[in-house]
Amino acid sequence: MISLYVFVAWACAFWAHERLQPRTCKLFPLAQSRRKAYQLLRFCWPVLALFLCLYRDFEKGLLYWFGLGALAGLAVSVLMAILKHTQSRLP
Amino acid sequence: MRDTFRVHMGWLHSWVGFLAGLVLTCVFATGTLSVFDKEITQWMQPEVSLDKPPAPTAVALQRAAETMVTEQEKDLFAFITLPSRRDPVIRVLHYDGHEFIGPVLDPVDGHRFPARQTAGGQFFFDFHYALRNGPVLGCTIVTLLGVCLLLTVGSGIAIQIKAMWPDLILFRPFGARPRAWLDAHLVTGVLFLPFLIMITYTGTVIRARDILPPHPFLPAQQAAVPVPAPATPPAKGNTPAPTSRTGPMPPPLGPLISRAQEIMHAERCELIIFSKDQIRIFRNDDASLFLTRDLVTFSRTDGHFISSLIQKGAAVRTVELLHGLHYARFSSPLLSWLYFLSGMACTVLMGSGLVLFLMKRRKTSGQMILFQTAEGLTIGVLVGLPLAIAGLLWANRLLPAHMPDRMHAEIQVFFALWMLSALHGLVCAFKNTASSCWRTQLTGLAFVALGLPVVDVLTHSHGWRHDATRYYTLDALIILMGLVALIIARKLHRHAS
Repeated sequence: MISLYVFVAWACAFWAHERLQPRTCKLFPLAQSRRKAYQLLRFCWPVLALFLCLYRDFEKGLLYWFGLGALAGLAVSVLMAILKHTQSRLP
Repeated sequence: MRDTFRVHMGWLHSWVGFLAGLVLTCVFATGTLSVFDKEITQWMQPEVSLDKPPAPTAVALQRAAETMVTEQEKDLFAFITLPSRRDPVIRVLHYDGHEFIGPVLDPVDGHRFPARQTAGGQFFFDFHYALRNGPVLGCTIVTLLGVCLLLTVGSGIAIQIKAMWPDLILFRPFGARPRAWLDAHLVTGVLFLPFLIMITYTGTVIRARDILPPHPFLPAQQAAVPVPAPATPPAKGNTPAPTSRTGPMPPPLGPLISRAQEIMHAERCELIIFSKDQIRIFRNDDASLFLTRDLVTFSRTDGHFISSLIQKGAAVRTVELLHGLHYARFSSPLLSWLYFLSGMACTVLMGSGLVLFLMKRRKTSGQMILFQTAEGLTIGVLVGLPLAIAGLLWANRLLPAHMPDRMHAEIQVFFALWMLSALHGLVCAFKNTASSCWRTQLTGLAFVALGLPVVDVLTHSHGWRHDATRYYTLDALIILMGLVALIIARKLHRHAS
């Protein structure tokens, strides 16, 4: 279960990161207040994920953190590509 | 100045990456499969039942000792691996120059399973580690390639450093083809960079001695080095010397294992090695990040305690950590899957790099013989290797279970398929029909991969309800590979028409 939380935390961080990029803001405009929130989340979620990983298994925590982080990043990148593709095809 | 640096790094990245990448892709792919080497062996030996508790009985240990003595009488360096969470059977193994093979025993009553002779997952490990060229030549080549990979990764970082942060997860699969391939290369490269650096660095460092001269540099140093006693387990790759190994029948192993666990404060032991007059019992390390070689030595004659070796120094622990990180013998399924998926991603990274190299040069150098050779070899690597792997699994199911020299027949099928694929790729590339070759081979791969579960069902080699997770998992992965090949083949077909 903790691994799932770590995966979700990483996915949220990557989502926030991509939402803050100018190329994504063009397709999905972002209010100033939400921009600040995303900036904060982009930093907080990976730290939280790291704490969870170290809590789960202190010895192998970093391996879980990097592994789940990379997979979450890959999942978000594919999801974002599909979303952008769908959005760009809308009239 | 900065642009010139990036141009130089780009050149280095392309050429070292491509030339080394042709072999490194195979090394990474087989290394990724080696994460589940035990599970692949279990798939390839469906006669072995895995539903027993991983604690051997005294009877089973006695049978294992008898089997070991029989094997040693054949002048084989036989040793015993005890049941573990991943492999809950007793194996009496010896090293045949490539793989650790031998009889498999039931951990409850010690009867010998009528398991088919196969190299199993060990085949992929041997290929990953020595390219089936033995511990000297093969390991040296792989270690040198590891250095090349570190160089390629470093130059890749130098090229991409500015765009790394904003383009962290940028992927445009619906864009133009070169763009999509480049994004696939970058997104896997950036996200899995920590894994890639860790696995390449540890793999290179633990075998770094192979790229140095095999003997001490100075005659004086050579004279000072004592001849080592065979006190360590056979490192994978070291063929034991052909001396007579037969000793007396060892005393009951159960009490010795309990004593060893007590001395080493270990939950379980893993490996028992027998010399003529000693028994060495090694602790199990699958719960730890460190690959340890702590051991307790007993007399083979009467079982009395001789010595123990429990290493705790910082340098030794560092080496154990480097080995542990690379060998990934963890009992945690999640961590094993993370290693497997990360390995797959790094294989995709290298494969996409090879494709990009060809794409960039097709217009300017498409008619050059070197380019055509490169494309033929790339087809052999990217399609031929998975085709050969699926072919090996087909051979495992289709060859008669008790055929003489069965293991080598399976391996010959693997290499024959791979060679045919590479030859077909080369011939088509020289005839300027490489694009049709990609489509043909990918369709063939899809057929072979999607057909494997059918073959698995039709050969009736095992039941599907009991103890079947191992079959479902591997068959599902093969189906996935077949579907990916089919999708790419259809896309290429649509693009061509």
